[in-house]
Amino acid sequence: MSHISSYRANIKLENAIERGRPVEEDPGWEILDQAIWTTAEELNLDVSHSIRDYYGRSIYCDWSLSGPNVPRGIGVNVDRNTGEVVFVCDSYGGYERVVGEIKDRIVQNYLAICVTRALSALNYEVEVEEVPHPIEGKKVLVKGVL
Amino acid sequence: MPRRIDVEIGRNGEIKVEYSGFEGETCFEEKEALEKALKEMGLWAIPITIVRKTSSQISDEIGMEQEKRERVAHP
Repeated sequence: MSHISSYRANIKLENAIERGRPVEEDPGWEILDQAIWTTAEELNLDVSHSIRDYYGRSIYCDWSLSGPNVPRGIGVNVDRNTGEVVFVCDSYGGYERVVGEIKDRIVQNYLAICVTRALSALNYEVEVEEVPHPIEGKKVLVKGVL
Repeated sequence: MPRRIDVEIGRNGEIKVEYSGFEGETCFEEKEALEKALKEMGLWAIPITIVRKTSSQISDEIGMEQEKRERVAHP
């Protein structure tokens, strides 16, 4: 028997926290870093550590992404107590759509890295394919064969 | 028949996982193992639907595999 499962994924870096270690030591921290840099490369954005609000005030973040379409930037923070990943931005003035696209892409890249690594860890031979999608931007297909 | 897992990752955290070639209930054991491995990386996969493949879908898979083998045997 085989089956098809569908999921809604949630990112939460709490493994290190549960062991009493700083969240920066969580395996997800490095994956999130990789997902952010991949997103920056794909969407031609700069990676830094601060965003600006509508009034020009600087706000520190664990990571931030900015570019011509999102000059104030979108920030990514990991809650040090819960491991929750929080996206921050001041989207006032019509940046909601582009900010949403960046957030979705970071999450998608994070999931793709995790699924690829998980299948490899389970000894599958893994192939990854990215397919452009008219509505979703791209779909990532990961195939594992044992 | 090789065991195979196909994962489709859409935007905004949507994942579809298709298990093929697993005998009996072993696909559910593999599902647990995959979910555990993902959780260790901070990815919580919350199941929305789980649909068992129909006998015709399974027959199609076996048929496709059979066809592949025949092609290899008689190039």
